[in-house]
Amino acid sequence: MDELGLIHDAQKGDLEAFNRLVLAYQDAIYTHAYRMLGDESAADDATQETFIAAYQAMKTFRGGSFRAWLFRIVTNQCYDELRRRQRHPTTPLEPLSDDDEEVESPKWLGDDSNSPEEVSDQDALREAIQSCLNGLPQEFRSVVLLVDVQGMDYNEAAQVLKVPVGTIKSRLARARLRLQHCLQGFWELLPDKFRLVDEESS
Amino acid sequence: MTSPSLSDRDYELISAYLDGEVDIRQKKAIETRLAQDAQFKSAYEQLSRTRRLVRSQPLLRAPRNYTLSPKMLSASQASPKAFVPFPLLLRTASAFASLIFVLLFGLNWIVASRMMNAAPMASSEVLSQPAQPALVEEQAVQSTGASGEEQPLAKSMATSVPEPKSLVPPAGEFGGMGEGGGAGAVGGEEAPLLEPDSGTALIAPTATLSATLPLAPFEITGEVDIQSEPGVSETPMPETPDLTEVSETEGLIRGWRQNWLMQQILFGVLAVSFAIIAIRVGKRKD
Repeated sequence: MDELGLIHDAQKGDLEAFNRLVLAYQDAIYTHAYRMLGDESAADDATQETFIAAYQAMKTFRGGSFRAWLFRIVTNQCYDELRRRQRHPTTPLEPLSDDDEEVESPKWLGDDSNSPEEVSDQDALREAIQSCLNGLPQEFRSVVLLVDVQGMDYNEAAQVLKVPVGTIKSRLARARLRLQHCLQGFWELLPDKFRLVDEESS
Repeated sequence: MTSPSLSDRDYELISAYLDGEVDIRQKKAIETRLAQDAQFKSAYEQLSRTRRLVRSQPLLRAPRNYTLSPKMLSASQASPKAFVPFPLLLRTASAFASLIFVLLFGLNWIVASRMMNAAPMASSEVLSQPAQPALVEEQAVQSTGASGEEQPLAKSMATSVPEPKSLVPPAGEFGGMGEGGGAGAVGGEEAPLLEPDSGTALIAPTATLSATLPLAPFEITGEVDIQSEPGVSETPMPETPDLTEVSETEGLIRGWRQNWLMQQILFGVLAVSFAIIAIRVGKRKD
């Protein structure tokens, strides 16, 4: 069944049809939540809450882009979580090593199907990008993630965030500039293809 | 690094150009500039690299399936209702309290400002009360040319007579006083209204007048045409001997104003404190 049919059935209360939509979108929604929040556990909660809220609000969906509608819900969930964090800041618990020192990132101990150096570089780069994303104001972050990570065009991103296309354009440019500045600090982590481009330009 | 010669608008154009979100005219302009402007081209390449780097990040796999079950839905429907009402109630109550405070504060402000405006006039009236106003009023009412419209004028003049015993200045000086003093309100053309049966009227400036003009008790003899005396306001007035009673009243009013201001500040501080407490309590309950 196509997406429209599933949406139609889900609006009538068909949980099975809705769950098929969940399976189709859960990776994208989880990725967005993770990139917005920078935390797996929070992203997991936000994703689950998004689908619950979406199911409960299915009858209010008036057509258009279902993806944009879902992303609006998850983005709002993330904004709520970020606001809650601002009100109640917490210190994340890191695992301790044998010497009772905190291990900075447990990802270093993750599974390594590639060579350890490659995994290390990829993870370091991913961490670097995530760190720079975390440094962006949340309005900028959401725009970058919708356009550059989810591949939305400006109109769809504007639908998600309920702002004019011009706002998307200016926020995206400013967000990319900030990311550019931030990533200067992680220069040595960049893969060759990115380094080569920069060396040519400079 | 950003190029100092490029504006935010330039970066917006470059960014939109990278995403194919520019129209044909803009596209041509950008491409022309890329061919001619080295700084513009450098900025384009750096932004392009950043964009590709972010886009190179793959979608993550969800750590589990997020499919819903009827049990999950019933649990999620039950839990929010248990917690939502209290913050809502608190916020609503806070909003109403704020609204009432603003209304009361505004009302208080308006009333107080009116009272303050009225206070100097009232004090001058109080000062003039003991000075036999009834006699002058009676005289004004009994005056031969008095009409219905003229009586209020006479009354207002009567209330502004603190000292019945006075000297007799020239008629022109009285006219000058009348024009210069606001509280006396000698605006009518029928100045002889104030003449008693004996043909004289006892006029003295009000306390309000005393603030701007030297006090000068007058005795008016005969008919006085107030407006027909040009330049009389420039005539020097004789000084009054004692203003202590007036200054005491002004001091009282000033003190009352200060008290009122202090009360307003106190109310303001209390209101802000309560608002902060309400917001903090509301946030804790969220």
